[in-house]
Amino acid sequence: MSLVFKNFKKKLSRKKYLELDFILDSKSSLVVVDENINNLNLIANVFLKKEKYEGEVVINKQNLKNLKYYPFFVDNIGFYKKITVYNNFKLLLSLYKIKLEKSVLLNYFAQADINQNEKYDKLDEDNKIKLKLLFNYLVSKDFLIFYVEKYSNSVAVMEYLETLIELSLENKKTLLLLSSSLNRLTRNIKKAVIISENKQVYFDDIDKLNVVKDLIIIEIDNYVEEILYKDLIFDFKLIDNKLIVRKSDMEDVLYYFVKSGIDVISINDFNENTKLYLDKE
Amino acid sequence: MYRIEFFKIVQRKFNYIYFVTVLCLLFFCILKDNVILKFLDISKGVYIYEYLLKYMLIFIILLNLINIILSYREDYTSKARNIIINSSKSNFSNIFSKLLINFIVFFVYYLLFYSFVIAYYIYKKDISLSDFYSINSIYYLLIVGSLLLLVNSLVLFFVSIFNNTNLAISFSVLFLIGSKFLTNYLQNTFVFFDNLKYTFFDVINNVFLGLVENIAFNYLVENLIVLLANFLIIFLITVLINGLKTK
Repeated sequence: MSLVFKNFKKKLSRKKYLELDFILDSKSSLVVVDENINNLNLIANVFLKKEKYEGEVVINKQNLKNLKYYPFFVDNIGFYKKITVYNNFKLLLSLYKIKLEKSVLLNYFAQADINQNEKYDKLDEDNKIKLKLLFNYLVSKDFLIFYVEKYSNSVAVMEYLETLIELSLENKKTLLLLSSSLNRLTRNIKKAVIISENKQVYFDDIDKLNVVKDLIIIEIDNYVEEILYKDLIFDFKLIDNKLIVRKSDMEDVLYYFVKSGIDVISINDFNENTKLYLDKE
Repeated sequence: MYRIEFFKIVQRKFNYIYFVTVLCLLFFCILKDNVILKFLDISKGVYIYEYLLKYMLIFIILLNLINIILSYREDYTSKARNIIINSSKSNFSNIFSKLLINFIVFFVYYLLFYSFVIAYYIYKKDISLSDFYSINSIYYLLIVGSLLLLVNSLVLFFVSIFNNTNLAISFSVLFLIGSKFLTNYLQNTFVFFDNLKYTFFDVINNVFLGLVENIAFNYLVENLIVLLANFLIIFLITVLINGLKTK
């Protein structure tokens, strides 16, 4: 199963559009990151076929609009309240022609720390969410979507979701996460789409993003460029009077500046534009 | 699908309580039958077939009606409906399983009462065994069965229109009780409305009144055809409505 957002465009308000264009290959994983939760909801609704949009969303070479596909988001599904957890799963999975052995299913429940003989009604809220996530995992055979943002306030759910994500990565399922930040859950994901102010600003491997995240800009004065190139032994780049280096090298760089009498005007983070240090004259 | 519907009915505790209550009532009616018979001045056969078994039928129709509405609504309230409609099962099998399982369970429920009453009176030698084995009891049960089928499909029809538990229960009870009043009034106003007796507006009342000790074959065939034809039409409309809802 592969997923393609081809020239996806959705009008949000006047002169404001959400534009997306990315490909998720089969058996790969991708995380869509946006601080604006409304945009994440919108993407979730696209899979539920509740939104109108320009462009195409293609799953497995078929347009989503013509495809009978349903993502099992936690908010949209539920189980029979007065029937036990095990029976609920056995009955509802049989509708999807999924036959699991009892020991396998019980193993899944043990992993989620849920008593299989409990009635669904009597479970607490966290366990209910866990069950729905597990059902999503079992039913979506090769294409899985997790809306990570919704459960970020419960530690138990996050931990369980992490194990599920690892399981699906092990089993080589096509995985799509919707999240508002890059966090522990997304560390093993291969690719990332980052949306900032309704624009897709980044689509590539998540490892490369970590390199960018690691950079720092140091503004310096009173230096000679040739000597810098001669003396500094690590990777760096000089643009005008701004020096770009890795965070890990910062200590050595500053030590060198002090030693050779170079003035530091300011130190900035590369991607966040926050000022770490500013020389007040 | 069938197993889900069966589980739904089995886990409802009020079904068992209701069963025990009705059984207690039945005990009372059977043990004190001499007093009641003297008071009403009727024969024992009439008492069994036109009073006891009919009361049981009313109780069971009421319970059946509540159960089928709750079964339908439970899918919505628990959000399991989204799981079901996106599965490989068709809309038809979803509706049909509700109808069939509810019908079978409550027909068996009725058979329990029926056999209990008949067994008691055979033991008391008020009914001979040959009476019980006669075609008459089969006729009686056939009509009761098709009546239950029609009521089930009618209630499913109402609940798929309203999609609201309380509204569906109250409207279907109102319909079962009050439709006689409506049809009587209409039949008095215009001759054409005489045909209403072949539709579900009137047929339930007529058949219920016609449940007597000795049912004639012609009467049976005529009513069975009307009941089953109505059942089929209403069931197909119900499937159609539910099909439109899922799209």
